[in-house]
Formats: sequence, C-alpha cells, structure tokens
Amino acid sequence: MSIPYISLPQPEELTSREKEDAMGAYLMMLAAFAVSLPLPIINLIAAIIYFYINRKKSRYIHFHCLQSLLSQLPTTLINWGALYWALQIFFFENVEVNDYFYAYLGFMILANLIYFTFSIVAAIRARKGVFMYFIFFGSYAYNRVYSSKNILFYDNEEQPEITGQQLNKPPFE
Amino acid sequence: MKQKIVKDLIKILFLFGGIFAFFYVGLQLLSEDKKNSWLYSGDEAKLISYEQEIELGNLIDEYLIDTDETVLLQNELIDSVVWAVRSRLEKQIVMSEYDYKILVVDDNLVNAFTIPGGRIYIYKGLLEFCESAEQLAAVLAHEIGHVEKRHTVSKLIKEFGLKILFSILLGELWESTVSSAFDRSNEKEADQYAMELLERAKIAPTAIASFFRKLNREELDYNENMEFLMTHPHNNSRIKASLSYETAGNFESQDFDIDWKRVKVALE
Repeated sequence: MSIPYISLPQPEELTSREKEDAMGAYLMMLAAFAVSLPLPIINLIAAIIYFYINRKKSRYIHFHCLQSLLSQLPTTLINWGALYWALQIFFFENVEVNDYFYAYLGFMILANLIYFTFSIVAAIRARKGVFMYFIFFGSYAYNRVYSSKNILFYDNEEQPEITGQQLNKPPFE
Repeated sequence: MKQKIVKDLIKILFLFGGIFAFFYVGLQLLSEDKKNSWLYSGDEAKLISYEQEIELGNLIDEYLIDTDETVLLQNELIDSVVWAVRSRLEKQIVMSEYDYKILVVDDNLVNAFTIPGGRIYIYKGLLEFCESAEQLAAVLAHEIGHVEKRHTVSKLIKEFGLKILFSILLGELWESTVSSAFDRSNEKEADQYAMELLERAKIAPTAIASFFRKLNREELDYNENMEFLMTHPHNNSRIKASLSYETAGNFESQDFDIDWKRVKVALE
C-alpha cells in the first residue's frame, strides 16, 4: 500500500520569505561548515539549531532544512575521521602516515567539494522555489516532510479542527 | 518509496567507496619516486639552507650553555674516547655538509640529543650506561643519522607549524604536549643510517642490538630518561632490525682499543 503524499507547492505559490529561509538552510550551514573546518562540530550544532527554529515555518522550509542537515552528516563524519587520524599521526604519534591516510585525505577533500557544490546549487534553486533532491537525503527528506503521516503543524497551514469532546482545557478562561 | 531510499543509500555507499578506492589505487599506480617526493619526503628541511642550519645550531648552543646552564664535562680521557669514536665514524660519512661536534654534558641522565648544524650532546649518564665503546658508537651513529637526514630541521619546522596551529585552535595549553621526540619513520631511518655507517666504520651493527638489550633489561630504571631513543619504534623491533641487518660478505669488525673500565672509573 503506498503512502499518500501532500502535493508539492509550485514556485509561484511560495512566499519570498519561505524561499529565503529555505536558501538560508544551505548557506548558513555552509558558512558554519567553513568556520568549523578544523573542528567539525560547530557546523552540526548550528545546523541542528537552524533546523529546530525553522522547521515549523512551512513544509518547504522544513524539507530544505532537513535535506541540508542530513546531507552534511556524512561529510562531518568524514572530517571527524580525518581529524582523529591526523591527531593520531602528528600529535600523539601512534600511527604513521601511509597511503591509506593520503587516500582518505583525497576522499575527504572530494566529498567536501561535492557537498559544497550541491549545497550551493540547491540554495540557488531553493531561492527560485524549485526542489532539488540530493541522492538519498532528498528522497528521505521528502518522505519525511510531504508524507501524510507527517503530523507536524506548520505556521502557514491551517491546523485541523479538534472534533469531539475537549478533555484538556486551560486553567482559566 | 522506502525501496528508493534504500537503493539511494546503497548508491551513496558505493560512491564513497569508489572515491576512496580511486585515490588509493591512484597512489598505488604512482611510482615510488614520485610518491616519496610528493608525499613522504619531509621536504620541510629544504626551506632552510645548510648555512642557516649551522647558524641556528650556534644560537641554540649559545642558549644551552649561557641561558639554560648546561654544564659540559671537562675530562681529558672522556674527550679522547669521544674523539676516537667520532673520528672513526666521521671518516665514513659520505659527502657531509657538517663539521661534527660531540659534547659531553655533565649530568647523570641517560640521554643524548642533537641540534641543527651537527652538534650532538651526550650525557655523562649515557656514557656510564654504555658497556663498550661500540655501544657508544651505535648511539652516536644513530644521532649522526638524524643530522645527515636533517631530521632536526624538519622536526623544528613541523613542530613550529603544529604549535602555531594548536595555539590558534586550542590555546597554549596543548602546546607543551607536542612530542620532543622524532617520529617513528625518522627513528627507523636514523637506525638504518646508523647500521650502514657502523658497517663502513668496521663496527658490528649488532652494537645497536646489544645497547637496546641492556636498555630492555634496565627499562624500569631508565624509562623516563630515554625518550630520545625509546619512543619509537619499539625496542624489540629495533633489536630485530639490527640483528637481521646483513653486512657485506667480507665484513670484519675491528673493536676499539679502549679500556672501557678506565672510562667508567673516570666517570665516577
């Protein structure tokens, strides 16, 4: 049985604010990523904060924040690995520099370049109101945000009316 | 939908694995010469000329003697022994840029260190620790290896760079934890150089093994002081390397004509 999905908004249906916030998800994380390159933890903290602040604004923003957050996880992990390895070699001197290390450095640089390039393109397209799906992360974020199973209430969507008896009431009128 | 996500995940794993494999295979296809000059050369030393290195050595020496209050041992017998060992080794160094100076520090630490420019400091404690002139020659040959391979200069540049980096990142707190020892590959290289030099000087390269065997026996007592030799690689692997070193078929060692018991008495 397939899960029904909520129809995607077209560029003209999105407000400028939504487009800018969606673009900001990529650009802000890129900036945080660049700042935190030697210690790849700040970008993750910034990404999580941005995600939780903005995700309820609209589905469009939620999708882009989630895609951006998830897509930086692999590069963050790869960078952590490189930092750990480099510290073991140059600081603690427990291991030697070898071909695996240099191959890993090449892999890390390319992975970061791919991440940067895709994020910049996604940011430009998000500003235009166009969806861009990253491999795996795009599908996952779409499935998470636009599935009818998503029960998150968005600021720009009407909240469903509560029917039936209201058990919870405020302490005073 | 879930199937697509799983397929995408597999694709991304293959992509990452492929990128890593690409770089690794690329490195394997590179010739050893190119790989060494691009990645493993330790070319940092080329940033400083031999003249600058010797100047730097003079400055460090002045600092050690004047400011750091390093006291040198004044003893004719010891000086003559050190001279005899040094000159036998020095004659066998091919195309050296250095004018070696071996200085004996009046301190009971079992230690030795090298500064840029060809100055090697050995401690009185190390002379007492050695059981023969051949063992002293082994230690000196190792230190000469560090000088000839310019490890002192590379280390200085690397640590200077690292200290700046870590000072920026983490503050001065971490600065002092940067090791003062050479890295493992440098130690191996110096050992290899020492074995070849000892062979040319007609000293059995197994002197290295006998020195480390003694070190192993007395490791508990000397552990803290032997950073210059003990840190990397492990003593046993160095003993093994020294014992398995193959000398030329016609090699015959010539022991020093030095009464080591007299040296020990002079050191007391």
